Amino acid sequence: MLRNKWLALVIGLAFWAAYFYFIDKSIMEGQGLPVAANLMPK
Amino acid sequence: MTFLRVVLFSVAVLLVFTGFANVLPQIQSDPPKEEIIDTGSLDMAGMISLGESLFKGKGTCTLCHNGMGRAPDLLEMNLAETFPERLKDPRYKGVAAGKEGPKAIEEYIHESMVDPSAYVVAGFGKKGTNDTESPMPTINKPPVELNEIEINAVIAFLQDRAGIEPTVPLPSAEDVVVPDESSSEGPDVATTAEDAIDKFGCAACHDLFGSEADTGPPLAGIGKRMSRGDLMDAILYPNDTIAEGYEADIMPQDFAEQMSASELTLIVDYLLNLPE
Amino acid sequence: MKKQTLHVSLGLLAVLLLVLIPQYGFAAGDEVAAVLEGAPKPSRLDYPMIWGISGRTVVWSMAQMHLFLAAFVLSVPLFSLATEFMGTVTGDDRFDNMAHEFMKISMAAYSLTALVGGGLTLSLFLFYPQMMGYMLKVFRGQVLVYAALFGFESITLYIYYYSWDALRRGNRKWFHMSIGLTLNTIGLTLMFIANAWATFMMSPAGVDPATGAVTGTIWEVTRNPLWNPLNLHRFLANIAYGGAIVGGYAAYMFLAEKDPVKKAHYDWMGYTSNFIAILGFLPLPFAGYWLMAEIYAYSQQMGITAMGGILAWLFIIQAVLIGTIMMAANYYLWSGLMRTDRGAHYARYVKYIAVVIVGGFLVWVTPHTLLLTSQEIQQLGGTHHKLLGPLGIMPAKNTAVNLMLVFTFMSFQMFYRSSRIPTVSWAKAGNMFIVALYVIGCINIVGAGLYGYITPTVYKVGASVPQVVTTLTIIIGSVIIDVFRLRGSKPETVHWGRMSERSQYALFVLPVAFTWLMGLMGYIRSSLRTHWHVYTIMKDNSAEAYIPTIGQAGNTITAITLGFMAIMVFVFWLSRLGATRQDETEAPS
Repeated sequence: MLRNKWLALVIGLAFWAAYFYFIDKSIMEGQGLPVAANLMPK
Repeated sequence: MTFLRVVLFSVAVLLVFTGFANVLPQIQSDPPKEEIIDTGSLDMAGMISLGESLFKGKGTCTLCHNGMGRAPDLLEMNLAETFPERLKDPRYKGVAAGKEGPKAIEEYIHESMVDPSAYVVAGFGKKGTNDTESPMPTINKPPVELNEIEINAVIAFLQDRAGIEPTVPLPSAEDVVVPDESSSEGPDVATTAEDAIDKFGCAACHDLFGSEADTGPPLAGIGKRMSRGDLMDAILYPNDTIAEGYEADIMPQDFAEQMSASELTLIVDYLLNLPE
Repeated sequence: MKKQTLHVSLGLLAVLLLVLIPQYGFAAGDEVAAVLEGAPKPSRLDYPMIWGISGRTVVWSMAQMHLFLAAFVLSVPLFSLATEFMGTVTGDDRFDNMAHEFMKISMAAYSLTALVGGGLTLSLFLFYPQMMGYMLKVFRGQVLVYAALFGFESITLYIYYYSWDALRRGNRKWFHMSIGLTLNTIGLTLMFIANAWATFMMSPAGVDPATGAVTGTIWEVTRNPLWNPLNLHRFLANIAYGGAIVGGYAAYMFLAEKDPVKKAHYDWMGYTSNFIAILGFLPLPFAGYWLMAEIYAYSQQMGITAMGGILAWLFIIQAVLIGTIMMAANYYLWSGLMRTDRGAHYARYVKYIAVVIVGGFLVWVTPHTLLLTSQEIQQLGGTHHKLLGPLGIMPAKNTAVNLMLVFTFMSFQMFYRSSRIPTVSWAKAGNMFIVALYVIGCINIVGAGLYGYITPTVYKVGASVPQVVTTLTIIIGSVIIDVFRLRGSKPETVHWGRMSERSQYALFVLPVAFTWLMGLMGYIRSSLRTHWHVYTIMKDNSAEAYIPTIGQAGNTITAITLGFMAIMVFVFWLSRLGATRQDETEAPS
């Protein structure tokens, strides 16, 4: 499995996407800035 | 030979940087002038004008009170509605809490300047303090250091913007600001009307001292056509009212920063007394 | 082995004494009695006029020159020690020879640093006696600690340099490196003390805010709000600066030498110093960001004076200079791909990286709020340009700078990969995992930038943190994966010296741009105090209390830089002269 580079790419994309999603979310919330949808400027 | 090439190359790189620094706008920032207020002749219109120039100049208020969201945009928002709302805000517990009317608004503005953290408008506090601490500097302390008369002038300006008749006291003779000995040697401040008019080159465009210049409107007998306050406004913000037949943008826009209050008073006094 | 442990622990003990318990280092000679007299209020007449000389320009030039030299002589022992350590670990004598050569260059610069420092002190007391009187009152005995440390610095420096060959092999080498560690500890402490003086003037602590009377201990005064951010910023910048200057030296030697063996040596030296310079440079924007954030936290007024007031233009110049540095460094790395036969394989990616770097650079220099004349505002239809406006704001700039850093790192990664052929079975899969990291990372950086763009101000600032974390994740993550991926890799022959002459000029751009940039940043940092000697405590009432225009400042900085370059040429020449021996058969005429 570790020899198939395309599989590694797919796993990599999924892994890093999940990683950054959680990191971003926790950093923003750690700064007291909840990630909400109603932030669009009027 | 290599040495020469390397040195020439390095100097060339340096010259590019230097040249770039020289093509950008060149602005020299002078230390703020100590305003010498001629207290006897300042009326409320003068106070409001002075307040506006302090707000945009020495007070450095517009650094934050602008459209960029750092602090409430006092020059754009509807102050007539805002001030009463703030006084009624249950979070507000300052000196004017529970009061109403122009005098309460004066107290509210004064407090917000000398004790900015007494009440912080929701969303404008220092990060992490839950709007209990204001990022605004205390206005009567360094580095801004407005004196009591100047603070009153800013209050007058803001009250005027809110459509209220200013309630602040006019400066009296006892309030005469005695400038520090240390600071009286600042940049040359003109002491007579003639010097002041010379200094700002008014006669180059207006017919003054017999210059017969006609780029700007004639000023003879201006005292009969304009009030003291209007005249001050016309000097500080020339584009706001343009005399018929004359163009905007000709007269310098920056007298509010350039003139000291005493110079402005001298010039206005002189112009008001010009015969027809 | 036992001896070695002893020496290392002795060295560590010295570090502990000076760093972990700084109160001892800083508070020595502290008097308990507070000095209750306030800060002096000098009038214009208290500033001596001496033959119409501009006192500020003299002090400015002296201080800047001292800082250039000091940054150089502090950083050289720092990476000399690191290189020495590398040499010991790898057993490669080239490292050790190069570290020795570094030190030789810095020896002559050391005495010049002290000389200019003396000149600076003299001119400060001459032109600003009241201000210096107050500073002495605030810092009291710390000045003596500084003087004593300076003495120790000289002693350890001479021992470190002259014992090089005597303590070269085996356990003795460890003893030698302990001396180097002590030398660096003292050197950094010296810099931290001097930083405290500079930051006290910007963000005074330990004094009464109304009168300026000294109320705190020396430690309280030293540990003012901006002290640590500046310490970190200058520490990193020193490493980058020292690397850049030695790189320039190596480039010159490369161009001047005809012997291929020596050419190869200087090519390798240029590469290594450039590597050190970039290593110090990459985290610098983050340290700068911290410093700026602390300035805002200390005084919003001061922060806005820097970023939104008349100094805002200077950050445009700074952006141009940093962009120049990045492009030169990248160009050098790309040229380096030619040193290996494998490198050509990577060369085809260079054009894409170049597009990102140049594009990021352009976004970065797009100014946001401009000081415009009313005519210009009318032409633009507002103070912000409709199309360029969004590019000028912080989220766009943060995005640009992070992408530039990521792609500069990619250039570097390509270079180190070009000399190694991986042998592990999962090499290709591992590479794809890194590709995925880059792809998702870049999307995340751009995404956070867009998010910052559409959200209110607090979010704009907040959204820059994930961007920085992403950049660091990409760099650290791919280094870790590559370390395992390249385990047991077959080294490809690196043809040191197979380098174009043009690429060497990129190595000259670095020190020239660094020097000028440091001068510029010094001007900004000092200008933040506006018309105060000590911000909000002691006013500057001299005739020269104004902030000069960018053009004037640029001309002054260029003049100082030219002076510094002349000194460096002299120093290099001296170190060459020391190695020149007259032929014995040459008879006197």
